Amino acid sequence: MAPAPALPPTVLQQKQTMVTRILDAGLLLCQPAPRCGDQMYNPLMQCCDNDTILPVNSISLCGSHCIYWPCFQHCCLESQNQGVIRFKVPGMKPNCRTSPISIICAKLYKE
Amino acid sequence: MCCRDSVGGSGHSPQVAGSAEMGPSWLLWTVAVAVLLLTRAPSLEASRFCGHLEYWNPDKRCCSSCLQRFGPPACPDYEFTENCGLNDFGDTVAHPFKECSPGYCNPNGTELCSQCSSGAAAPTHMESPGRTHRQCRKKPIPPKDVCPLKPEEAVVSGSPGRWNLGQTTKNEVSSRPGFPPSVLPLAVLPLFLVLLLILVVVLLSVFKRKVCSNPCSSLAFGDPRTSVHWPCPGTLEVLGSRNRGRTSLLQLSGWELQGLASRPLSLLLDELEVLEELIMLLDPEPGPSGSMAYGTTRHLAARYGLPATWSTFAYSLRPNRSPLRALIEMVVAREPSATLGQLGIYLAQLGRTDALQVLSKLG
Repeated sequence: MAPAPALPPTVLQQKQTMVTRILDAGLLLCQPAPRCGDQMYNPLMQCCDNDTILPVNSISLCGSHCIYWPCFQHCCLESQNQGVIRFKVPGMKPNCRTSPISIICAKLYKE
Repeated sequence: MCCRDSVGGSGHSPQVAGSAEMGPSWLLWTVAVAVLLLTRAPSLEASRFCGHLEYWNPDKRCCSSCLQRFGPPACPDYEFTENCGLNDFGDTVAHPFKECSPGYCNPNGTELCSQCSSGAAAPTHMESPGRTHRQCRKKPIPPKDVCPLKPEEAVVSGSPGRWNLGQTTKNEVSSRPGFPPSVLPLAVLPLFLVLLLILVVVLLSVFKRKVCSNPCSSLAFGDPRTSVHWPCPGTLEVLGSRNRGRTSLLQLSGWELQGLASRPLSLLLDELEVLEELIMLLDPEPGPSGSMAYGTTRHLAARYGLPATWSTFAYSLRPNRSPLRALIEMVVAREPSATLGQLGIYLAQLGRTDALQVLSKLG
């Protein structure tokens, strides 16, 4: 004997589901998705660095061995052998002169 | 071709700057860092894919223009380095600009130097076959930046190679181009204090009326820190009436009378003792997961409009870097006119009267 087909949700069940969803305020809060170049990205998991979408936890090298997080920091080579990693200030263009210093790297490499 | 890595984890190494703990395991982080350093040894060699005045974008897999990314050379007699200092992995291995070779000049800020006498361009770099991959989407060229060198340094450069942009000092924050000066005239300062006091009184009266018909009035019978989510109207008043021996709203108002509220937030970066005490109070995140505590630097950052991802990143820099110090530096850099009064209000809203007490020492 074939199994009975699933019954459609009753009106009460549908209302309960709607109440649950309405109480979840996160689903109701709509905001424009940020754009990176011509693409949209999820700011909770990605960031926009120079028109390129990167994962939030992506890392890169500044010089030979200085690691930084491009989503939150930027690399500044301020002297011949000195690298400085500075914080990216939200809403401002990365500036190697005025952004707060995050890490001062050791000498990059010997000339 | 290795692309930019995405790694989570923690690691501490005296040779590797910073320790980031954003992923599941320290071991994974260490292995990933080791792989990164071994496989992506920085190289000053030319790009395998792009021309001299371009750089390879490993994420988009296309060649981007150096001029569109960095703008023209800001200082006279400087030109772009090979691939503007970026290797094919996206790492910064050299400064984007370098001095012109002897006998070559660049007074007009073009991409490359030319002979000083005749104006002929420098010998072009031989483009190897295969270095003509597809071009990335074109972007507008940024405006020419201000030359960071002093005039005498720009004209007669001492050491060959890259220019020295110098260390950033706190004083440079206030002189950043593009941001209007934010120093209030002395005549306006008393008016500002009076207006601030009036605003506080008005807000208090509004809170008083709302407490009477608000469920949060149950705070009067419970611990304000544990039961109800902030913000809860009237909490400031409740804290003031219930917390014996703690800083109350009266002390917060006292700030305004002392003029503390109008003093710049950058002052806190100079008062190391007070800052250290605040770090000890606000940075820790007690609790099983460390993130369920309320009124920490994380929540303060949210008040200042910083995203949660930034707070998570700032906390990953511990213990080398204090999240609170980083937060204050960020706020000062973004808004030089930020005041201690604003910080005090946020701390009061978070219910951190202990931090308010410490902050009042600045007076």
